[in-house]
Formats: sequence, C-alpha cells, structure tokens
Amino acid sequence: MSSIYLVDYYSTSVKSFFHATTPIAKIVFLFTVLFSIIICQSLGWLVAILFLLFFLAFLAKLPVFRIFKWALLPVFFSLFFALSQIGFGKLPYITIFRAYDSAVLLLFVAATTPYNSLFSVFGKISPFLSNLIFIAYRFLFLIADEAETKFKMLKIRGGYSGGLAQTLKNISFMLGKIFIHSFEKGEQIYKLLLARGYKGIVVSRADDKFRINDFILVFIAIFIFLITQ
Amino acid sequence: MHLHIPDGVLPIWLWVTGFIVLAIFLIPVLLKIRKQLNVVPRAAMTIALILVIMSIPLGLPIHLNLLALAGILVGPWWSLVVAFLTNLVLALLGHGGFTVIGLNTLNLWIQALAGFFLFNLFARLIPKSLCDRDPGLKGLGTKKSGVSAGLAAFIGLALSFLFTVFLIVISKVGPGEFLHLHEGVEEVGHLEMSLPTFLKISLPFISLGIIVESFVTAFIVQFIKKVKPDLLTFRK
Repeated sequence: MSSIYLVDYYSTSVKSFFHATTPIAKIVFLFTVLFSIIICQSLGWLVAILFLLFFLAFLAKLPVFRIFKWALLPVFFSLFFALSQIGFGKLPYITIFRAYDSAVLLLFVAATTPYNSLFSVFGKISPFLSNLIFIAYRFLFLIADEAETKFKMLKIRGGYSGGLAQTLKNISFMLGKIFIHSFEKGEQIYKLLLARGYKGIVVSRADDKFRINDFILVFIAIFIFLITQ
Repeated sequence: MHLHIPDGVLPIWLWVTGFIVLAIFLIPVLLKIRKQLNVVPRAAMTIALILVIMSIPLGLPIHLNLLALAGILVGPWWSLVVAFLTNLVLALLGHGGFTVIGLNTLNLWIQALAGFFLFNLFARLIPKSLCDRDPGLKGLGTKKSGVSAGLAAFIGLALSFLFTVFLIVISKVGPGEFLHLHEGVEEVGHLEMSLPTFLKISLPFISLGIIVESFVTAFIVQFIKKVKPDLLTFRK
C-alpha cells in the first residue's frame, strides 16, 4: 500500500520540470515511449531506455531506488513467460526488460502527474468512468487506513495465532467487515453527493496549454522512438 | 490470484484484439449502467477495496483479487467496469501491463462472471443439509452461501488461468510470429514460448493462489451473509 501513498505524495508535493508539464504532454510521452519499448527488439536499446528513464526520474527529484524496487513486481510476472522462452536466444532477457522498462515508465508518469489531472484527461474519453475512478481513488486511502488499523487490531487480539485455517478465517471475516463498513460509508457519501446536486459527473479540469517544457518532453519521447528503431 | 501479463510479452495484434473485444463489451455495458447512479458508490468502493486487498502482501509476490466476490456484490455488468478501472490504476503503478489492460480486464471479468452466475446457481443447487448446525443461525444458510461462493471463485480462477494459457497458445499462431531479432543469428519466432515449461513454472503458484482465494471468498461471503445478507442479493 505504501507505494500508492508515496506515488500520490510525489505527484502532488514534489516540484520539478516534469511535474510542471501538462497531462496531455505526459500522455503523449507515455504512449510514444511505451510503443518504442514494445516494438524494440534490441536488448542494448532496452537497457539504454531503462537508464534514460532512471536519469529522468532523478531529474524529476523522484527516489530512483524506490522506483527501481517497485517496478520489480512485473519482473516477477514476466519471469513466468521469460523462463518458458529459454533456448530462444536473447528473447527471455528482452521479455524481462520490456516488462521492467514499461513499469518504470508508468511509475515515472504516475509519480509526476497528480491523479486529478491524470483522470481529467481520461474524462475526455468517458466522463462516467473518470468520475467513478475519481471517487474510488479518493476513498482508496481512507479504506487503506481502516484496513491497516483493523489488521493491527486483529494481530493484537491473537487473530494470527490459531493455526493456518483459523487465521485465514479470521482475516477473511475482517475483510468482510471492511467490505460492509466501506459500502455503508459509500451509501452515506452518495446521499451527500445527491444533496449537492450530483448527476453522475464530478467536474475536474486540468491545464491544457502547451509550454516549452511540454515540447521538450514530447521531443524526448520522439527521440527515444527514433533511436530505438 | 491470476497472472498479470506484463507489457511486451504478447504480440501487438493480440493485445489490440484485446482492446477491441473489451470495447465491444464495455460500450454497451456503459450505456446500460450509466443511469444506475445508486450503484456508483458501491462500485467505487469495490474498486478501492480490491486495490487495497491486492496490495496486501502474502509472503510471495502474489496477492488476492477477489473479483469473484466483486461479481457477487456488484453484478456481471458493473464488475466489467470494476475490473477495467482496477487494471487501469494498477497499470499506472507499474503492476501489470498498460498495453494488455484489455486482456487483463477480460481475464478478471471471467472471474467476476463466474462469481456472479455460479454463486447464484450453487446457492440454489446445494442441499439444505449443508445449513448451519448452530441453532442461532439456522435457516440463514451462511455456510451454504460460503460454500457456493468458494466453489464459484475456484471455478472462476481456474477459468481465468485457462484463459492465460489460451492466450499463450494463440500468440504463437498469430500474424506477429516471424519478426526477426536484430542480433539473433537464428530466425526465431517473436513470441516462441514452451507451454509445458510455462505450466511447470506457473502451476504450483497458481494452484496455491486459487485455493487460498477460494477459501477467503467463501469466508467473506459467509460473514456478509451473517451480518448484512442484503448485500448478496444484487440483481442484473
């Protein structure tokens, strides 16, 4: 859970050249670099893109080691696929680096873009989905706090000490309690939203005006695309 | 538990097809549900809860999904939206690929669909003899609901894994097969993968994950049935 907290913190509290770019420029950057990574068939270039992304993360004042660590989870999943490609030359390494590069890229974009700006871009495609994810994201941290407190309580009351089956049952009952409590909270919020005239859309606007740093970011993306082909 | 397919593993034609299939389902679903504003808080809470639950570590880098439970709680149509938005947020956190959001969403939706339809089916089919022996709970059918949910989750998760295997099988026969590696001496298929090796590596993890998640789903549903049974009666 700490990774979601920290990504949210870095995107809103850190100030840098990349944080100041518009969400549209970041989306263009994301898709161009992601496409470059996916179609890149050279291991050397994939390693080079990785170093470039870490360098950009360093310039954006992000904790490079934390991003390195968080992006390892997709590597675990890619291992299932990569290990079954052993015997096909460099293909297993290419699979792992594609997964790792993409994860670092996505974390870089998420950690430099506040969630409301990111979802407002999404809202141009579907305001309904954007609204739903906006509400879900706002409650994510409240639920995470509640879950953390409840699991601490469970531990203190000996909920983890009754054997595997009993522990699983205790954890599940606690999760059930969190589900019920969250749904009740959701109902209350819904009534409050209705009282304020809610009709299915929560308005969120992001600054769309392109400035020099946006052009630089798009230029970096095009540069990566061209050199890797 | 399911395998998140990362970026760069599957050929372009396959993940583009994933987005197209997702759009074919998602657009009519959105048109159907957009007026059901009263379900919005429940769906939003479900997304938030799944994201929280997915980030609870279980020792290995595996986690619970509880999409079968989401299917039971929000129904088959809303669960597609829940699966899609959950995957979108996860992809932005580097967890699961961005290009495979379409396929990963369909993979999770299989669990939710199985959760909803099989839970309701088993709840009707399982005999009353499985009802609780505790006189205070007699007639509530908490154990019966738990068993129905556990079985539905188990089948949903197994189907979801079969879907991943199916994707690997068809990725070999697609039009993206013979892209050449620049440095490679030999001509190798772009996505050559040994299916037996893949199964040998993934099956132990997946089996463990499926069993744990099925039990957790069963116990959660048993608890909800006992405390707030109206949450389990979602209608399409």
